[in-house]
Amino acid sequence: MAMNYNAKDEVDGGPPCAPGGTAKNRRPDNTAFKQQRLPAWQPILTAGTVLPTFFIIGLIFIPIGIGIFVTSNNIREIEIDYTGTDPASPCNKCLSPNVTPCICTINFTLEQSFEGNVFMYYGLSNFYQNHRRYVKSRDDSQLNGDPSALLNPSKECEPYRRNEDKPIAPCGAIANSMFNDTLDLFLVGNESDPTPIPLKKKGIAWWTDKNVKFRNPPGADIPLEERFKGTTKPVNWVKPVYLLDPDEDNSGFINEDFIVWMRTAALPTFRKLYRLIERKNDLHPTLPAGRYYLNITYNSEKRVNSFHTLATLWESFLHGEFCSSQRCSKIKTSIPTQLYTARSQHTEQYVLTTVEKADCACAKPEGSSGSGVWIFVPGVQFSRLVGSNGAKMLRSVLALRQIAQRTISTASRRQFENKVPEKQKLFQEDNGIPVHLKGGVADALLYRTTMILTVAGTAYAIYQLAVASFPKKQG
Amino acid sequence: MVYEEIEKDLMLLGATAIDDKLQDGVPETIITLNKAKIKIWVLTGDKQETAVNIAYACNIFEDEMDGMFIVEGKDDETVRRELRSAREKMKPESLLESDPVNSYLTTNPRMPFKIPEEMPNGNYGLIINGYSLAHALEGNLELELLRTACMCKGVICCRMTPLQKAQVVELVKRYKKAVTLAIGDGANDVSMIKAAHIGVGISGQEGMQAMLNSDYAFSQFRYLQRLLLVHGRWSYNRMCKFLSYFFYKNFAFTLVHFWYAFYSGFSAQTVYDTWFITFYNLVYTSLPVLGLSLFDQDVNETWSLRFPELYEPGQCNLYFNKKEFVKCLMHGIYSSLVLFFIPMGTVYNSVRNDGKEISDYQSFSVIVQTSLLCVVTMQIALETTYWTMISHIFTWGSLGFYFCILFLLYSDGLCLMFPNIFQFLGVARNTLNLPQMWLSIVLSVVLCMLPVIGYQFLKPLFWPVSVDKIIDRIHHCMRHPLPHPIRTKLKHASSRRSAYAFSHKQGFGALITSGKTMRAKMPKKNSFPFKK
Repeated sequence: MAMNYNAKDEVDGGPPCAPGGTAKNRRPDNTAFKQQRLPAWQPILTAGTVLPTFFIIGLIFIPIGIGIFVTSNNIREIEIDYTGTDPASPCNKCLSPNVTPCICTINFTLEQSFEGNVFMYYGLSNFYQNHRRYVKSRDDSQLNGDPSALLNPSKECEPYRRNEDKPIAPCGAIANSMFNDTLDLFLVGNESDPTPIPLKKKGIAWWTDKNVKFRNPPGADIPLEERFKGTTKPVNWVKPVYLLDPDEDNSGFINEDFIVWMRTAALPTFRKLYRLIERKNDLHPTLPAGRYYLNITYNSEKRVNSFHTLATLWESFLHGEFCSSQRCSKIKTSIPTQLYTARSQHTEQYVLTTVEKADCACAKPEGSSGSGVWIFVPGVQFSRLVGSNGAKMLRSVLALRQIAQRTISTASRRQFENKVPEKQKLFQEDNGIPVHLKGGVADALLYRTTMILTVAGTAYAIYQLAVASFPKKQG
Repeated sequence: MVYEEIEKDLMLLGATAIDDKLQDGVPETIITLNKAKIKIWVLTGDKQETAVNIAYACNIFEDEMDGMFIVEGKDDETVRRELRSAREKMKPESLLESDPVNSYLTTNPRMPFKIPEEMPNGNYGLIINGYSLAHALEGNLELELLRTACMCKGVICCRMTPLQKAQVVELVKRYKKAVTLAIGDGANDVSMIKAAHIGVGISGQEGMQAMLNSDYAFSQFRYLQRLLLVHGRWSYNRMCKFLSYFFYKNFAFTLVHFWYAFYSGFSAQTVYDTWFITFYNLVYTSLPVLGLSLFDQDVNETWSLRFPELYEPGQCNLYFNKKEFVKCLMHGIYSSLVLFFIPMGTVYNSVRNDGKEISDYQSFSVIVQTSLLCVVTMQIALETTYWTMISHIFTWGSLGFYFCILFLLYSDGLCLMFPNIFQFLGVARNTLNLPQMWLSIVLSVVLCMLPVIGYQFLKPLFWPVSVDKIIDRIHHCMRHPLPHPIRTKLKHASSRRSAYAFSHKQGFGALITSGKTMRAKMPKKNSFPFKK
């Protein structure tokens, strides 16, 4: 049990155990690192350190908070809603227009003149630019001017990749859903002669976006149209990308409105810079007080269709994963101040904003901005949509199946037509079949398989539980 | 007799003795380990007298003990009687029907069940020899043996075979909620070393067998106190800090997506850049954690050895259990809420000074990423109590490295080479020069850290555990150093006993070891290997 050993003698005295191991000193080095005695600072949380810290943080943060609050209250903005859901609104006629494009006019009055730079924004609420599938749907090498990507866009852009057997430039759902309302601002001076306010359309996108990230296909001396030869415009656009602006420096992929739209927003309610109203060099205010009117070319019909097309398409391709881009357009014009540094000349900053809260047809007819809760059960969402329209038809199950097949085959041939009415007919039919089986034989099959698997799995789990509860005695 | 005729008129020429001394520092080690609430049992193959004397010599048994029980029965009944009478003396209530442990045992609980601690009314010692042990280790007596032995301050089992040593260790392992450590040096200790939770081998002249079969090996018994009280304790602290921090940082990282889902149409869109997700656990937060787990010390080794009571959290599993995990989870949830909603509030409907966009997905992503990294870095800075130069380099260096990688990944060159993989061109430049972003990062950090600092400061103040009081004392001593290191005077048992034992026939041995013939200074006694 006890041994007589000299404490200093730690030579490995036994038979050599390591291959080729002679009796060597296995004592570890007596360095600070190996003996864990490195010089160190050992802070202790005492009352003397913690309480002053709390107070100092409070003392620093309170003035910063007050400063930020005061400066942000100095921003003035005007929001104008031009959605047109309210029947009294001038833009109500544009929700279901007789003639496209529909132009509506909104009058408003500025109580005080705006000085300094005025920024005009459009805003959308309930538009999920941050949806995962939407965010992926772009081709950055095409947008960077890569000629091979121009003619062969990436697979991420599906289903907006090719149209009429030509590649789409720019491809993807983000580009396809570009905001294309136009807004013009007029000052009502004398009754007969409204002066248009000059709206500057360049200088609204990030410098790095405009000059580095987005580039037109190469060919400095070739006209722009030639450079985009072999491609076609996105499905929902009126003009192709090279005709977005007569100025070549703002057309094609480097069109600033396009760039601003392609920078997807983080939240479903967002605003994007539309135009700049630069301040004048003389002493006149940028926007004097008075009456103004806003001319809006309201392209909502196309947009609504495009959503439902989007929704339907994505429904068929992604099994109901994406359901709503309900566009509720807002237009805001605003100027933020220099938020954190005081600037003496621009003591007053004004914001002119127009806001539209659209009636979003998808989930909640009341027009409140919905969250995406209903995405999980596409059937439910569809039935609500259907329920609100309520067309009833009597057909047999066989005919239903035929219609379903026809709908699907039609979809494969004509990919970009609006399939929503067909789907509505299919799922609204009053034949007593529950909605989870209304889609056809596939639904029933899937349901049965799922049920069998669930029941079998549960039974097996219970059986295993029973086996595990009675362990065999170890012999 | 024949030998009486032969062995006559012999002249005594000399005597031989074998002096098998104890190693240095053994008694002090045992005292220290007892202070750390570690029970010490001696399992040996030696004779009873040797074992008892060694036990007195190294403070397993003390002179002031209230009683000593010797179990040397030759059959089941005697052994049972002896064990029960011992228990009756130590804790009379434990023999009654109403005793909770007894009533629990009469319900015939299913295996595995654990016997709780029972407190005796004094310090007692138990001696049991191998023959009686063979009876006691049978099925119906083993619980009696265990309960009696665990109530004693020290237990000596002598004349044990290696198999019995292993059986005793396994008995304790099976029925007690305790961690067992077996330390030995010879080939006969190998079975107990392998049976225990931790096996320690002492390398020595008896060969390499014990060392080769053990988890830890060193050359002297006294290093055991360093192994347990310094390295074992540090290892437990480091492991618990590492685990709780690791869970926290991953909860804070992941749960942000949960909140974002409400705003992204539940489409599983990630808040962060994919490259950040790849590098987060791999590069940005791995080195500080490594530094924490390798170098952190709550008190240094001198203090650890001086205050063995600091060992208690490890024994009670105080620093990482289900409750701590839930606290970690709650902290992670709270942090993720702050980390998502503060940047969201900053970015919601807001623009830059020149009117251009800030509320886009990529800027938001960068803001949240940077806030997250700052918060978790500050959290590990708070948890590190031992700041070596390496810790500084790892912690602040990782944060700086993050910014370097950020600029690299979002630079023109890389993004233009692979536009579809590196999509965040220009975001770093456009976002990191905004005062909004830095203010929101500061706000997030402050909101996440202040509650933690407050809790860490207030809890030992108002609801201290015993360890907190000791650490308080240590901090006090560190600031006002003691004039001399206090060494407890070891009371050697030499007043009444010596470490020497006789191995000759029974009669003399009992006489001499009873201490009745001892004087202060003893002449060396020899061992008489005579047998009559």
